[in-house]
Amino acid sequence: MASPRRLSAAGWIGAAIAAVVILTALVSLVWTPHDPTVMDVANKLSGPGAAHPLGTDHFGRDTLSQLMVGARVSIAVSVVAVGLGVGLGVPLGLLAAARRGWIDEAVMRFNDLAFAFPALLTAVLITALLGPGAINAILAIGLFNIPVFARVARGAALPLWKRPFIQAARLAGRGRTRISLDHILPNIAGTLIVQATIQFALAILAEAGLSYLGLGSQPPEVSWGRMLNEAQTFLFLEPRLAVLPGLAIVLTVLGLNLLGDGLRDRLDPRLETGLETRREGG
Amino acid sequence: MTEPALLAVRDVVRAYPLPRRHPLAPAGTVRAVAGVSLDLARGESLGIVGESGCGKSTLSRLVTALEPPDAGRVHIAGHDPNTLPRMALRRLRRRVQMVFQDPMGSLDPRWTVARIVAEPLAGLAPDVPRADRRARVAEALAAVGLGAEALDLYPHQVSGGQRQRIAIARALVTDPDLVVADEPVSALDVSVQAQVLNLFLDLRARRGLALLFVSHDLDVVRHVTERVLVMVHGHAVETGPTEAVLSRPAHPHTAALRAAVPRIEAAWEGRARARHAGAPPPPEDVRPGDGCVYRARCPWAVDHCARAVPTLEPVGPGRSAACFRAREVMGG
Ligand SMILES: Nc1ncnc2c1ncn2[C@@H]1O[C@H](COP(=O)(O)OP(=O)(O)OP(=O)(O)O)[C@@H](O)[C@H]1O
Ligand SMILES: [Mg+2]
Repeated sequence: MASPRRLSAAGWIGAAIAAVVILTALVSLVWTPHDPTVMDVANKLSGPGAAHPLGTDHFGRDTLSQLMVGARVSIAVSVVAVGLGVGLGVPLGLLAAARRGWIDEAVMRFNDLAFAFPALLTAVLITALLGPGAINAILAIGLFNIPVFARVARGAALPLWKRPFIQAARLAGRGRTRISLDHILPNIAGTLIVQATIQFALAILAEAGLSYLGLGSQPPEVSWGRMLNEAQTFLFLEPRLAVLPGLAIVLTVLGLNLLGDGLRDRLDPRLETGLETRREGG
Repeated sequence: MTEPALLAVRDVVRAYPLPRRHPLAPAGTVRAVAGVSLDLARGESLGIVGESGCGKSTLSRLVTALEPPDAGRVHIAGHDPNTLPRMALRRLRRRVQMVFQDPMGSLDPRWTVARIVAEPLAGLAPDVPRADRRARVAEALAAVGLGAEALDLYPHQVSGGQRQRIAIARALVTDPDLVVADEPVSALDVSVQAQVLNLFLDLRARRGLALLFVSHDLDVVRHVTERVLVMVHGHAVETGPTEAVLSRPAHPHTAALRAAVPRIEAAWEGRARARHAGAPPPPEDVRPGDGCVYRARCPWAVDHCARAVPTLEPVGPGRSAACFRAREVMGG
């Protein structure tokens, strides 16, 4: 029995960064050094110190607390947006691969259509039409994840349908839906996880972009994109205010991409054995 | 009234589109199975032999109703599986199972052996309570010589021979009347082949199983089957009792296949090509309707073979061959 292949060093770094960000977001639910929305004009634009480890902004709000809550907002928006893409896109892709014919055609043409629009620009358009706000940002970002996951799921499922173990399942009286759920889905899960990691990074970028443009989370909500937006006035006076959220975004996206690449190597679909099967049985 | 034959196949045809040579080329088709008929009674065994690409696996998929024929009929116990409603098809499927060519590929890598072998029960035997499944699975595994310790393993944790046994156990778990085995041993080491073949013999003797046994290997077919059907380019060219056909072939292709024995070339993916006077021509060069499909490679070919298509004619007790010179081939 071959030993499971390890995650690469870069993959581990990515996993560690992702873990730190998620942990920060979780901690922010119960504790932040200060209330990130409380203004303290007396202490505005103060540098890092004992009371404010990362300083304050032009309203005297605590930057560390804002970053922590911002992590939560970024993650929440991205999780829901990617979840939307997975939740609708994967079933569509599985359906297209299982049924072929006109259903497949319809799903793929819808995909082509969606891919023909520049995603971020259209997200801007959607939020501009629906009105700014976190929910609409989620919808706009999620919408563009649907065809991504539909395509990836279909592409990974199609070759599986030709495999003998699928034919065996048909001989065992299994219908196409059952086969899609019991055989296809577990066998494409690795591919989907890798894609989800990458889409997650893209969603964090998109959320920051929309918030920066004022189309995402609205004040008094805090997010990394908003922090960037508000910091630009003081870019030369207090570069720290822009650098910190910028760094948070870059690090998170980088970490997720490293993790995605690491997982891709680890869950090489050509090997056809993944996490569950690798658990040593005996 | 007599019971309908377990399996009756009449003139089945199955064509596939060929890849185009260039984008503007006309879309050609290859007739993987070009009008084959066969019968199988309860408890009987029939070998299907022929070189790689002659349509053996396609015929297996037609017989098991994994694919519908483009023309012709398949009847299992008097029913046409391709016209049956879904529930009736399930009942029929319970009686016909298959062992696939590639033992690794036919087992889901993410399923345990217990779940794999239980799948036909879950899908086809609603009368077997869930609680009894594990016992039935253990029984089927025991029948192929595997212990209960295999139940919780994954396919990649067992040897190739054991994988094939697992695939056979899955085919047996619903207690079928007919098992179609598509090259069940060609992917195995020669030493393991004998074990698995003996397993088939044993199962037939004990369960009265009818067997459709596909192979390119005459030795194997001789060992396991009573009757044999030889295929060339989708056509049945000779059929009859295995021993008689193989000891005195009536079709030049059977003779050529026999000359290739005892070479067992367990090649890549279990595909072996019998040593043969010339390789099979590419499928697009084999067109129906202009003479005997085999004539280009046939040492016995005469002008007449290019003008007419030979059909299966009786050449002996229970035997027939599709060759104008069958008598001479047998005599010579
Ligand atoms: N699904 C398919 N799509 C297109 N062509 C196919 C398909 N299945 C089989 N063919 C073609 O039909 C012909 C017969 O194939 P088949 O697999 O039935 O042969 P075989 O006798 O089982 O060969 P082997 O001994 O290599 O398994 C070949 O030319 C093959 O390329
Ligand atoms: Mg085959």
